[in-house]
Amino acid sequence: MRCEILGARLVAAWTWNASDDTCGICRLPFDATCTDCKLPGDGCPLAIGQCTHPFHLHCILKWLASANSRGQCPLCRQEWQFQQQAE
Amino acid sequence: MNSESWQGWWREAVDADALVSRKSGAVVEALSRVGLGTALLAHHWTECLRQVEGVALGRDGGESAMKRAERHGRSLAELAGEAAGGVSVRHDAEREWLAAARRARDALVEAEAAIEWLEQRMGWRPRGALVQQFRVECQARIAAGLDGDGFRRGMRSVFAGRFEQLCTAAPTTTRLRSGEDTTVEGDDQDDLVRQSTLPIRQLSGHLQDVGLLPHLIDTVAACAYAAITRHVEVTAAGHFSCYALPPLLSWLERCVWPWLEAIFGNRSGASLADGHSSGGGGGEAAHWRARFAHHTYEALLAVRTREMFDMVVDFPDSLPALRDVRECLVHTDARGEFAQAVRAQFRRRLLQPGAATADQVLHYVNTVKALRWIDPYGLLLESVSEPVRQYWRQNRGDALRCVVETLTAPGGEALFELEASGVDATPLGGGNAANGDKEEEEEEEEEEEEEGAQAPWQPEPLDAPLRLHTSIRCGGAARRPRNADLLSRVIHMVSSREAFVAEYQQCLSERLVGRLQVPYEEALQQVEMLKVRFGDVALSRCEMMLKDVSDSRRLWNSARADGAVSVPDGTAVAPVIASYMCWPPTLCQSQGVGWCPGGNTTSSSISRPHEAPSLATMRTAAAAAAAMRWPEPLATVTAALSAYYARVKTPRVLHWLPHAGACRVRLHFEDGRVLEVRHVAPVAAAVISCFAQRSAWTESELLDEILVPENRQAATGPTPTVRELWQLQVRRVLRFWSRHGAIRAVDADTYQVIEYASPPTAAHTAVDALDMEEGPDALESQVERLLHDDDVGTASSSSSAASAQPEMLVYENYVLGMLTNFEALPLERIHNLLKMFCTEPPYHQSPTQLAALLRHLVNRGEVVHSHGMYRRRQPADL
Ligand SMILES: [Zn+2]
Ligand SMILES: [Zn+2]
Ligand SMILES: [Zn+2]
Repeated sequence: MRCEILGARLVAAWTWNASDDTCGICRLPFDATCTDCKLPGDGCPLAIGQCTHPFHLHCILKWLASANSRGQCPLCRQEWQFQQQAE
Repeated sequence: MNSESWQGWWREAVDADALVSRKSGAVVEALSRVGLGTALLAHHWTECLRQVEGVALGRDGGESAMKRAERHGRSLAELAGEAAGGVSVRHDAEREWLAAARRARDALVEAEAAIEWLEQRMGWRPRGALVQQFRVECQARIAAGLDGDGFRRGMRSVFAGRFEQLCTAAPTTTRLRSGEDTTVEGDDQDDLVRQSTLPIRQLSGHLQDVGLLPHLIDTVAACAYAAITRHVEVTAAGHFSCYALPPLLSWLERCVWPWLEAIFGNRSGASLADGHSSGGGGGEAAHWRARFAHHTYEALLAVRTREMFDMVVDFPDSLPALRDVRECLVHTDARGEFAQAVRAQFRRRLLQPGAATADQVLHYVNTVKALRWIDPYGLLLESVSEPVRQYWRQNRGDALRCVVETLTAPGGEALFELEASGVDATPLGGGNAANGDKEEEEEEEEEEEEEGAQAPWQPEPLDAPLRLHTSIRCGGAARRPRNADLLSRVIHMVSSREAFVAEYQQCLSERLVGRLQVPYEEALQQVEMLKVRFGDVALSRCEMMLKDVSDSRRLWNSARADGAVSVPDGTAVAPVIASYMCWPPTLCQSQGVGWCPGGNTTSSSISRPHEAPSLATMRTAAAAAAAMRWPEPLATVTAALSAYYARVKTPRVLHWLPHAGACRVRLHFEDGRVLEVRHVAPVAAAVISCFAQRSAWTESELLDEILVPENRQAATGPTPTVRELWQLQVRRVLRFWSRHGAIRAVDADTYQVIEYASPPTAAHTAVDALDMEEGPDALESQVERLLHDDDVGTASSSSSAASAQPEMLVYENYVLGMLTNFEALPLERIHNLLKMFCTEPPYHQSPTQLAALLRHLVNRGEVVHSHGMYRRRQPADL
């Protein structure tokens, strides 16, 4: 018997590949959005600090903008630096 | 005037002159000619005569007077008998009656002349008073002496006969009226009518004169009612494309009114003296016209009501007939009865156990359209809907699914009037409610729901001016036509808006990922339409699913343009990359059996959770999905696209879902057979690809082949391994392919390709998995059907107890889900719940088989059995 696959509608689901599944700030999954967004993925990206802690980009920006953040990562209290993404 | 005063009068009269006896003889003579069975009258007159004779005895001698009295008495009695005999439904009855009535009239005239002569002779004042009294007395006596039933029956046949005659003459007048033939003008036409009503006019005139006409009112009415009913029946019954009212009303005009006019036209104000001159009877005739017109409306309504169900089936071809109903409801006061009757009819004919839910949904949609056309307020519809709603909610778990499928099927938008809000068929109702009213409307519906069951249907005026009054009466709080949104109404019948949106999302998901050709544009359009009704928020996830599809398309194009992915010629591949949090949970679950072991129930038949697949579900799904080795060329494509995606979307990664999606597979066998299957899951393609490499496989070998090495180990712990989950999946796929004649089981565990079919079958077979069942469920249901076929057909060599268990595994997750929801259940209860809820596949197993499954689950440590109750193992139990 010979088997030909003539066509296919293939289905995949994407996930964020980070060291954690949920955002440490809003407690929502990265695969969903932060509290402000509607579109996951491109619409609400992930930000990873040099301390490797991941957050919703919008969450960490909001946090850094608040007075008591002192520019630190909310989890490890190290100074927050965005990890440079290897392109 | 009573009998004593009569006698007194006669006594006085006798004293006056000898002529009295001669004249009184003439009276008797005249009356004897009445011949209407006036036995009592005859008796009375004989009595009177005896008195008269007694007084006159002195002059004429008693003997002869007595003789004469006897003779009169005898002859009157004979005449009475003869008249009674004459009352029959004979062919020439009418002429007889006409003659009899004329005789009676003449006799009375003569008698009255005699009395008048007496009055004159004796100089009584005021003149005519006696005549009047005499006439009244005579009429009363005649009426009392009638053989009522026979007389009425006879007269009825006379009237009916004349009526028929008039009706047969009527078509001529119709044609004249329509103007086709202009040679005969109005006057001639009237002549024609007058001519055909002449005999009946004469007869009624005489009857009127002898005072019998009032006794015939019931007869005439019954005759007319019967004729109208019959005519309405012939005109309207079964003719739904005919607006029957105008022709019926014109028929009344042409046939019934002239006839009535002929009978009652000369009634009031008529006297013996002025004969049957017409005129002055307008009041009476008008009264009868009103009654017969009313009867016409009622009769037409009755015919239409009886056939409402079929009219709905024929909608919109039956609009003319529905117009009849609407008009009739305006003119009769029968809305309550109508609603009652229609409700009963629909309950009887629509809610049959044998009727498919999809057909019922379709029919109900037509019902809504038809009934709201009759009653823009929707109250009628409300009344008819209630039993349907209860029935659907209690007996048809698939009703919501059917609504969604009907909507998404071709023509669904038009059917549910998504585009136009149904202004075309709504004559008065303000078609579409403004968006702002939506919430209010919902509230209203909620209220209705609570009261709806008990509150009887209140008739409301249908015509616009009256409606205006109603709204004024209600202090401005007039009811808005509640049929504004057909779809909302139907959803209300089967479930809630939320459940509908969830079901719609499920269905959309199946359409978007379960087909080779994605109906993207249509789906997008429909979602836009639904947004207008349900709001952006409710459909946001549907929108995001669509966005995923279009984003995927773009990404796929750029990946190919980039040269990152290449697809072999002749293979049409397209991916859908899902933001799984926006998709229904079933996306991450193999149908029927969840990838997540023992988790929440996965089958849509038990419950369809509205929320997205959880993170945990996705993780498990991803792990299980990652275990499959994809067949070529899909392996290359998926790997390449994964790499491309990881590059452009870092740090995001893809997880390919082997149970979702659709493949088109063509198999070529040694004997030249070609089997082409569309819309099978990639996992099915993967399995059959193995058979292309080697013709025989055991289940276990297949698992080793299909799964990546790290997932090949068998179960060790309490939770099933990926391999165990896959085992079930593979088993189903094997059954699917054997069902389609690609492979067959050669022993309990081994399957082999059927290279040479025996007997030889069709050279080319095309199978669309979607044709048999919508959506990705297709594979499952087919396989399950096969599973039952196998049970019946092959009577496999292994004992049934041993084979029962793998079959039962299908229900494992149902059982686990149940025990999660119910805490603890006895065996019997679980058995019954499965029977009730398991539709895919249906549960027909025995309690013994179920017990075996539960034992298995207990052994695996997922379930605890104590005191006859089964429950999930809690952490504390370990
Ligand atoms: Zn966040
Ligand atoms: Zn965001
Ligand atoms: Zn940190």
